[in-house]
Order: sequence, then structure tokens, then C-alpha cells
Amino acid sequence: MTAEIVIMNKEAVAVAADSAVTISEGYPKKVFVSANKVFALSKYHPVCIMVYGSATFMGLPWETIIKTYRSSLSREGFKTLQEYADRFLKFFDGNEALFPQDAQLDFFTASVRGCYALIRAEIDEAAQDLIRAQGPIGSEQVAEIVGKTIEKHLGIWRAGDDASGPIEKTPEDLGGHCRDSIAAARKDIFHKLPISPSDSASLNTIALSSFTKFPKAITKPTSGIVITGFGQGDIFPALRCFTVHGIVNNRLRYKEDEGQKIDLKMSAAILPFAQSDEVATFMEGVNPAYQMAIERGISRIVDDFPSVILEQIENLAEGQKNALKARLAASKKRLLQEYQSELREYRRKTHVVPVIKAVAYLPKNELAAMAESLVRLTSFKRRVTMDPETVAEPIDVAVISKGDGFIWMKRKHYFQPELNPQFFANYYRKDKDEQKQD
Amino acid sequence: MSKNKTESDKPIRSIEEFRQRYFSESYLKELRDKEKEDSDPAGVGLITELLEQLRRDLAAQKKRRKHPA
Repeated sequence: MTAEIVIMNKEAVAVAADSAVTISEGYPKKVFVSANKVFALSKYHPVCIMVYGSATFMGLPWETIIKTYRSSLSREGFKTLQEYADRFLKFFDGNEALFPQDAQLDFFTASVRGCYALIRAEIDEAAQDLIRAQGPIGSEQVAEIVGKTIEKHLGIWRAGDDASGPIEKTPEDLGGHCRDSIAAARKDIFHKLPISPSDSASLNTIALSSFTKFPKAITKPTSGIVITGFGQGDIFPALRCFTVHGIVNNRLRYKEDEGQKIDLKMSAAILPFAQSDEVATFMEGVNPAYQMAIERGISRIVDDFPSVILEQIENLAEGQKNALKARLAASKKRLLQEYQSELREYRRKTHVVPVIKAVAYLPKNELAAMAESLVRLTSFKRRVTMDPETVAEPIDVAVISKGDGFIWMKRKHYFQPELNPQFFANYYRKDKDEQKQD
Repeated sequence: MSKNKTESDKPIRSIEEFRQRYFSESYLKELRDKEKEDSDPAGVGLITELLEQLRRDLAAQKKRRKHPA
């Protein structure tokens, strides 16, 4: 787990990330504090990349992927940050040296099996509930449970956001090896459960959706990618961010999330990634979970209050009571929306705007200090509560500006820099050698 | 006319029966392992056994001290 932050104003971008990496295979969880999550995307141009979520992608550490890409990029620069991000995403497509076909098929199979296993677990649970509630059940009821559960999952996947970029539209668009893999997974996981032809078609669609859709109700193993900085023609910084899942049929499966651009009107932005609750509490003056609890509570009060009042009025016929209840219920939604909007406006004016206004004028070193403090806030909270320390120091901090490029403000090393001068001497050497040959 | 009931016509009386009928042996094993792990997440069974052994050893030592050979 991770806490990362990007703070942007017209002059520069400050980024900060903690160093915790949680290994959750087996029991108990283990946390190491040595992960690198911030990287220069180019050695020569002011662009930064941060990763969060899964520390590996298709079995490779992100650091290896990013540094391999950076090495292939060499001195090449692009006019806009948009192009830097597009070019990075393209690096994955058809790159069989890093992501061979076997690994892609393994990933595909694991994704499909994961989706199917989830459905099987729900079928098992539903059968258990029904047997408990009504005693023995027959095969028709089993078929009904299977059909309903598959239909429910199909609905969840259909409601998900589409993956970005070109995607297959039907299961037939997949290659034969993918279809074989789906059939094998279905046979193994659903074994002797009664699967009707319509269930079978739904399962094929679910298999396809497992890498063409990003539903909110199902957590897929993904990594977050944040690319920020300046293109050669950009005056102000910009940010693009993505959720990446894997590679199938030589194509990266990802979803672009909402980005940010600084311009003459938008003079500053603060964007937290991964564990963002503490930053949100600082920025908005209220913990997001607490805010939601308040809103849920108020909604319940508004729901129940008409009945409580009407029950107290004597000499009111049942029909009149129901008519009044219906009229009050009609006003409920509007009243709640007004209340939520007032609260939102209060938080914005009282808490968010004053900070954003100051950020717009912060010099580079102050931007870095602020980014570091916001990550430290989460790390401190995790340390002094009984939560696992899934966000932990040291904190890596960098500032990226148009003129000075990518500058490390704080950077951990797994080695002692004074014992390894060759590391720093070699940093640009390969590119220099290539330049000489040219 | 009478017909022998096939397995699929028979009512399923318990979740174990349901699993046995519809799920593969490998998944059944997975479920058994998970149930075992859930009932003893931190290996408490093993720790209890070790403590019990220690208690027995201490009791035996004490007995030997009281009744020297």
C-alpha cells in the first residue's frame, strides 16, 4: 500500500511517495520499507512517473519496466506531456521481449479463473443459505442459483468502465488460445454445476470483460501510474494517470483516470493517490468516511421522521397519513441534495480554497516540503494507530520544473553513495557513448 | 410404472452433499484447507500442543524432585 501526492502550480510540480511495500501472500502480512515509487521518466527531460498498487506488472518489477523504457527513450523528448504518456503506454504493446506470449496467456487465464472462482464462491454461499433456510433443495433450484449468480456478475461487469484504447467487442474477437483457456477454466471451476447455454454465453462475456472492463464492485489486481511534468512545448505542468491491469493479445489493458492541467485559470492542484484519506481530512477538514457516515445518518433521519410525526397525530385517517408521507418523501431527495451541496461548499470555501490559493504561490522548496508533509501525515497516522504500517517512511520527494528539470529533494538509496561513485559516473555514460558513435 | 431416481433427481440435504455433487475434488480440498486455516489462523493448535507438552515436562521434573530415585 502507498500514499503518494502531486502538488502543482504554474512553476513546478512536487511529488512525494512513501516506501512501504506490503507482501500479502500467505499469513501474516509483511511490510518492507525499501520500495521505490518515484522515477524520472526521462534522464534528460522534466517528466516524472509514480507507481502505486501492485508493485509488479505481469511478474516484472515496475522499476525494471520503467528503467528499460527510459533507456530506450534515451535523449528523445516530446512536445507535450500527453505524448510522453502515450509513448510510455505504447511501449507495452507488442513488447514480447518483456512480456512474452506465455506470460500473457498465463495472465489471461488467471484473470478469467479469478472471475469464475468469485462466481463459484457465491453459488456455494447461496446454496448454503437456501439449504439452511428451507431444508433440502433440488437440481432445479441449483440451476436457478447458478443462473441468477452468473446474471448478477454479468450485470456488474457490464456496468464497469470500458478499458481505454481499442478493445475486443465480443468473445469471438479473442484468439483461439484465449477461447481454449476460457473453456478449460469453465470446465475446471464450474465442474458439474448445471450451466445452461445462456449461462455459458454470459460466462464468455464475463471472461472477455475481465480485461476490457473496470467495474467498481470488483477489485482487480491493478497498478496505478501517474505521469506528470512538462512536455517540451508545455508552459505549465500537466498530469495524466492510469489504472493498468495486464497485457492480452499483445495489447496493454488499462483505463485512463481523470488527469489535471495547470493553465492561466487553474493555478494550483493537490492530487493524492492510493491511500488518500488523511490528505482529504487535512484538505477538507473532515474525514471522508466520517462525512459519509454523517450523510447516511441524516438520510435515515429524513426517511424516518415523517412517520414518527404522523404517528403522533391523532384523528388522522390512514389514507391521509399515507398521502402526507408520499408528499414528504418527494421533498426528501431535494432537501438532502441541498444539504450535501451546502456542506460541500462550506468545505471548499473554508478549507480547500485557502490552501489552494497559497499553493499557487509556493516556491519550489516549499512545494516539496508540503508534498513530503502530506505523505508523512498518513505515515504518522498509520504508525500511532493499530492499523498495519502500510504507509511508511522514508519519503522520496522530487520537484520537476521547466527550467531545472527533475530534481531529487530527498531520495533513499539501498547503498551508500560514497562507496559507489561508479553508479553516478555511469548514470549518463551509456547515452554519451551512443552520442559519440552517432 | 416406476423409474429409478438418478443422482441429480435426489434432493440435496446439506452443503457438504451439494459440494460433493457439483464441485471438483481439487476445490473440495481447497475448501477443507481453508476451513482448517480459518479455524486456526495463527497456528494456535500447535502452540497449545507445545504448551501442553511443556506443562507435562515441568510436572514430571517436579515429581522427580519430590521423589528422588
